[in-house]
Amino acid sequence: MKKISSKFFLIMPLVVALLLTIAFYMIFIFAPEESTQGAVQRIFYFHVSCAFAMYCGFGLAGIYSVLFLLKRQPHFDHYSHAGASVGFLFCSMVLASGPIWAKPIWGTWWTWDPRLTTTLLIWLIFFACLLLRRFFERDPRGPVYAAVLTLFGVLDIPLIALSVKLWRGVHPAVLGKKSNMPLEMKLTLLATNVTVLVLFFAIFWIRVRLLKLEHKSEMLRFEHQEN
Amino acid sequence: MSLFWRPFMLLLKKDLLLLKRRSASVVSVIFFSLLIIIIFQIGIDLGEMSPIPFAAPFIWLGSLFGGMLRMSRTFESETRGHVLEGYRLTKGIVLPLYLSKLVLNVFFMVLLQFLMFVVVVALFNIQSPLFYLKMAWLPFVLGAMGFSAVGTTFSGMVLGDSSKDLLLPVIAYPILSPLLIGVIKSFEYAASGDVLSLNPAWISLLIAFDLIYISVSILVFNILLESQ
Amino acid sequence: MSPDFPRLEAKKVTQSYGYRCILNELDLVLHGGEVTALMGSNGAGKTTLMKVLCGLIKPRSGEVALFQAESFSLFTQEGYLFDDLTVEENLNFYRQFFNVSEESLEEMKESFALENLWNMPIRHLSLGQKTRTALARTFLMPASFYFLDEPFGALDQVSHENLLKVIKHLRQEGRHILIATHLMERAQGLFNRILYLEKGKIRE
Repeated sequence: MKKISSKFFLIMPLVVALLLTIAFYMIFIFAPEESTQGAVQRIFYFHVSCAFAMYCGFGLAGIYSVLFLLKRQPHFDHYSHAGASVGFLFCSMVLASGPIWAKPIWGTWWTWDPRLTTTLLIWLIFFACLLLRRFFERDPRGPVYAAVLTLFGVLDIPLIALSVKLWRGVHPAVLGKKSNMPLEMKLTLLATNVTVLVLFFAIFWIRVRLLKLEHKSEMLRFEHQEN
Repeated sequence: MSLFWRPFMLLLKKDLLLLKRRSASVVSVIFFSLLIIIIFQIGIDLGEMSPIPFAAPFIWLGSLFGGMLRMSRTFESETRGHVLEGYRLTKGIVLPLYLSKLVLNVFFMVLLQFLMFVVVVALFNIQSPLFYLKMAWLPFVLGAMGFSAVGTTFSGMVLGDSSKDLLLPVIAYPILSPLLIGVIKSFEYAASGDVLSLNPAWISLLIAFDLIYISVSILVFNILLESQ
Repeated sequence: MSPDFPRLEAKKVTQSYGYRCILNELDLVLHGGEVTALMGSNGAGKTTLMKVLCGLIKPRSGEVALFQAESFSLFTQEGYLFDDLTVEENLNFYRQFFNVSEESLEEMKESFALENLWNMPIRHLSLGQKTRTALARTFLMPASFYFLDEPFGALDQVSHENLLKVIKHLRQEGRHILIATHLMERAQGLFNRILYLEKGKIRE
């Protein structure tokens, strides 16, 4: 097991680097320039892929927090923690890349568009979740509370999405062109999606490993103090 | 059924007695909400606009701030003597315990909202308060239920540690955001400013929120108690 | 040993607090009609053991099995009392909560000499007075097993003897009383068994 993971540790960055190179090539050179938005539209591939990775992370966090509440095994908490923090990372990237794209197109950094608002609120929930973990560091209650909050947060995502949709009416047709995209654009989007997902799982895996090691070192520290 | 009702009524009765004992903290929460409304009212100038569309946001805002203070005190009387741990030696106590706390918090929130309503009617000079109340009670009661469901559960996480009081609003408000928006958006106004109707889509969103969070809270509350 | 008496069997119970191992594959059998002393240094895990036995804490592994037994009553230093309520309101609340008769409440009031404190809020009581109220609460609850965590510390001579009387009476009724204490000399001859908790294991 140990051998496999250390080998994986060597190979994985190379794979991610290779995929990223391909993805960047496709984004900047392979994909055709969008007629109305120009070069700035190329951020779209990255932006959308990050959003997928973000939902992946929060989904994993939700599933593992339920498992943790049911079984109370520490490794489920590690998965849930890693899912939330890496999901939060990609959520931040979505929130950062959004305004960069929005400024030249909509003429403003921020608007209370449904998707923006939803993402911001979800970002706030998981920020609170990570904050809670900080508050309860080294407290055995921390993982339980974090799991409850994660569960509440994940259940909130559809409610937030629905409420924001009701609130703001129809989404502006900026993303509406997806359906009649040229093949090159679709291919690029697919490639970027795959790349970012691989990147996501790589970071997720490292985070889980780190949390496991932290847990182990804490245990060893206590055993040492005992003797 | 008496297995539920007897402890439930007993806990509720005991909590009411304790609330009476600590009436000062109840009054200060109400006073705080009142202050919020007054300060905001000073800050806005309605001019020629109808005041009615402002009533709901003001009532809701005032009771949100005060309500959060109340939520963080949900288990105040139980913390000092570790009473919650003692309860757990009795089987089947979790449901009556959670629901008695929830009912009390909902009752408190509705009371607070009503008081804020009275204040708002006076401050904004609302012409037909009874008609307004008839239209407005549903979203406010649904709001009070969802707010209390999340607030009661989360206060079970921060209890017994004053430094964690800070944490409650930070973790509760983002979760509550659909509810916070929903209560205000349920109202539809005519051009004159009168409340015209309630938006059924928003009302069903509020109901969904209440159902989801009350049921999940009941499921996880036992776990929260166990990990004290 | 009467076969009708309650019995508790703990098998290979392991529990840790955070990362610290407190109970390590501990085995223990408790029989009704006995009084047992539980000794051990500070932080040896006496309180944790009691809480695991009565189900307040789920052990990491191992199990606690009950025979002919229903419930537990636990006394700890925390007392499980409401600070803002009077002795009477507290005990009356618990009487209804446990669903027991008013006579048993009167009995407890007498046993622990609570008449004078009856209308005092808990927050105004001294440690000894609070302990007496908490003990009354503990014995008000009908249970097969009574676990007392350091009950002797704050009690004066009269209350102490009253407590011993109550314990002996319960033993005759076939209940088990487990007492964690440092003050062995204060209850000489009371105990049927003496247990030592050391490094997560029980030694007799």
